[in-house]
Amino acid sequence: MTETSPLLSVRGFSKTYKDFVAVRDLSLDLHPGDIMALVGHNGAGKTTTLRAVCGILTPSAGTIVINGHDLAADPIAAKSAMAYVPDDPRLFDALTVWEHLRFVASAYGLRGWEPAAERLLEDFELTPKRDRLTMELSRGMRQKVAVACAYLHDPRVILFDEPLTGLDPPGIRRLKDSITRRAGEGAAIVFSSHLLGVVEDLCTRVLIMSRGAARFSGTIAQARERFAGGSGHATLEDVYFSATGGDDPRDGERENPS
Amino acid sequence: MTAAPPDSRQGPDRSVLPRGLRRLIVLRYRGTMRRMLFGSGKQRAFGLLGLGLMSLYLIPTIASGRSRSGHIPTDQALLWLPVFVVLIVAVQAAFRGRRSGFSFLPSEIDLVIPGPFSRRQLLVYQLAYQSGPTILMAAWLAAFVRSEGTYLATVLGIALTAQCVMVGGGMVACGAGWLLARRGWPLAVASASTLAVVAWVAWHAEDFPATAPSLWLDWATRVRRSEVIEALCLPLLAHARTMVAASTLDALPWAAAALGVNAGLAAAHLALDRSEIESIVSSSQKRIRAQQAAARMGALMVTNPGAGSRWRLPLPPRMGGVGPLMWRQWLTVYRGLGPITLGIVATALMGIPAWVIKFLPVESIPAMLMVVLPAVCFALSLLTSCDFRGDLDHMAWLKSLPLTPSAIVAGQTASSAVVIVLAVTLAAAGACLGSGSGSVCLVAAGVLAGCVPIAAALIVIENTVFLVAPTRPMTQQAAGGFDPSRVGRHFVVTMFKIACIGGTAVLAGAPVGLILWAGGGVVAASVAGCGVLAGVVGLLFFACVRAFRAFDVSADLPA
Repeated sequence: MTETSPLLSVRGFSKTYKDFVAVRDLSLDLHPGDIMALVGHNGAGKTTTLRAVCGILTPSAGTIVINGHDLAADPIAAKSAMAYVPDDPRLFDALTVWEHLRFVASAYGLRGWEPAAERLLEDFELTPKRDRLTMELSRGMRQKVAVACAYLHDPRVILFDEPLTGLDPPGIRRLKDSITRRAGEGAAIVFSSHLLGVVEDLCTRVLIMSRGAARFSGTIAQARERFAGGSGHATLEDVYFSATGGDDPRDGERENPS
Repeated sequence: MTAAPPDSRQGPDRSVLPRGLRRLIVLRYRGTMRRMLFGSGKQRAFGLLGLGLMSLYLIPTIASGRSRSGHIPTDQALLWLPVFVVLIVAVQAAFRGRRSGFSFLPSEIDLVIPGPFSRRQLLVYQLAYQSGPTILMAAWLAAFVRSEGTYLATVLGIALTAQCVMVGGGMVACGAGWLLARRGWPLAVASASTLAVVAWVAWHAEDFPATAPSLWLDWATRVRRSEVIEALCLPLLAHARTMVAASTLDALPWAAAALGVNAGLAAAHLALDRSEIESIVSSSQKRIRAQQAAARMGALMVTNPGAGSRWRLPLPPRMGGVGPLMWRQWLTVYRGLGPITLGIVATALMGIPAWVIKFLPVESIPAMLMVVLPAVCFALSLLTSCDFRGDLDHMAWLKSLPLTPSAIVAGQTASSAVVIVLAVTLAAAGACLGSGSGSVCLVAAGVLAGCVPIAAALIVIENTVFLVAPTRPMTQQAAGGFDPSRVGRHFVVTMFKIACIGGTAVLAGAPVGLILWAGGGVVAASVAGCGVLAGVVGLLFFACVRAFRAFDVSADLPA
């Protein structure tokens, strides 16, 4: 992989369930330092895309390459460079916070991981909960544990699916800071969210999805240029509704079977 | 704010079972044990009680060797155990269809599948993790199995047989799917025809005693000993030999052979199971949703995908809020089972007693009804949970309703009690119709009248204990499927129920007996008895209302 190679490359990705097309012919490239927002109505295909990139769903068509490794051909190497934080992380109830980190360290073959894990606990105010069972934690705390687990192995590509749900304001600020820092250190981040204000504040690029297809992919400035005539006053919300035409989502049309 | 990366990392682990997954298995077992032994106070108390009760049975059994009376002879075990395994495998494979036999928990879907593991590694992890619960289950079952083997040999035999059933069922189902995917229906038809020919040869190799049912066992034994069936059962003899070995040392070579057979089946299963992780995840999520629905509505209820919002029930009168609460629960049951299943259940509840009773002498029917109908109440009180037990996630909502606690408790518990009374009414009606005797109908009506307070009392007791020490059904946390706290809980609840029913019978029976002895009329005695019954149910109801008031939504919701 050369310096200019993308960390995440998706080419012609489609996902269909019988006659229902969840995602159609999606392509994107993410380079080190990119923070890409994935926005769209409910049912637009955001979670399907993220779950396919992390290996939970199998693409109906297309290829996904992570850090130079084809996810289908070499899933172990591809997934070694990636981390995924689901929208409502379901942890192992019988394991403590520290044991979750221990499992992640073992799974990714980390050595000397304990100081890094201690710092992550400190960063996310989890140190007092270190030896608590995750079943005893609030949703926000469980979200922080999932993020700490995702960060521990220093992944090159990090996928966040609605990561701010359940977090308190300090938690949101910490997570945003950490995302910016990780991107600064060379990671590529995909960030799915409905909070367009946060997206505008945090992300360098945006992928607007509607009805399973990409309506726009590029920088936020390019999005303003294209959908708001380059108006510097246009918010991402204006851009978003202009891009999607305010069209009614596929909610209720058919639930995503995944 | 940043965390320095770890010192170094090893390359991708491509072994059969990577160290990360091995570590996870150990951590999960340890976590389960820790939660069992050091969980919340109530859970720990129930857990210790359960462990104590199990030890009371297991330790003497293991220490003294099992009773040899009434044991299954070794030659019979060797003859029929392999057939039993083959049948279970066939049934399991038939019900599984082309679905994968593997399943993931939600936490595994979120944390393990996105990890650096291949499909095969994830499936091996599943097989390895399931071994622990299998051994525990075998240790428990072995105390009840009366074979000529030692306890340890029986444990080994049961564990290996259960493992064989698990991987064998998966292998057969996947093998059928693999064949169908490659050669399609022509091959399936050819295979089925071959099987039919083999079955026909086995069948006609012996003289089928069509007119002499008493000889069926002899005939079945001869068929079992035919070359075809012998060959089919041969690989499974090692499992049977392990179970009936006279000493643990004798069992070891057979156990090794059985393990080899299981390993071969597992390898074939893994090779043939072409399920993508996605389809396993999808079927796991469906299974979890079905389990959660069953847990919410009771073990008898299953999700009924065909029943949508079009199935409606009329809203009963408000009755201070009791009506809408009952309506919500009944609607859940109705849509959960669906009208077709409900029709089948109702027909079975009426039809089975009507059929069985024809074979009984008329004079024994009243006594039988007096035992069976309350026993049905007892069993259904465990299986039906359209009350607080299925509403753990809705406790905050129930607490926030603008209703009195009495109305909420009445609405919640009456729904289950009415379901039980309806079921018992159908059974009593079936018995009445089957016997065609007026006196039997009279007795059935009397027993039915007694079953109303019994059903109410049983449901109120179940709910009171649940509100005092809530527990979540074993769905997501099927961690090993072994939880002594449930054994302890069931013991306490059952003892409490028996004490209440027994005490109530004595309390209600005493005035009845006294009035009859003093020469009072039957009506007066019945009124007195019913009054006492109503009083006891009222006291239990009051206790349940107190428990609901005391239920702390912020503290009493175990995940």
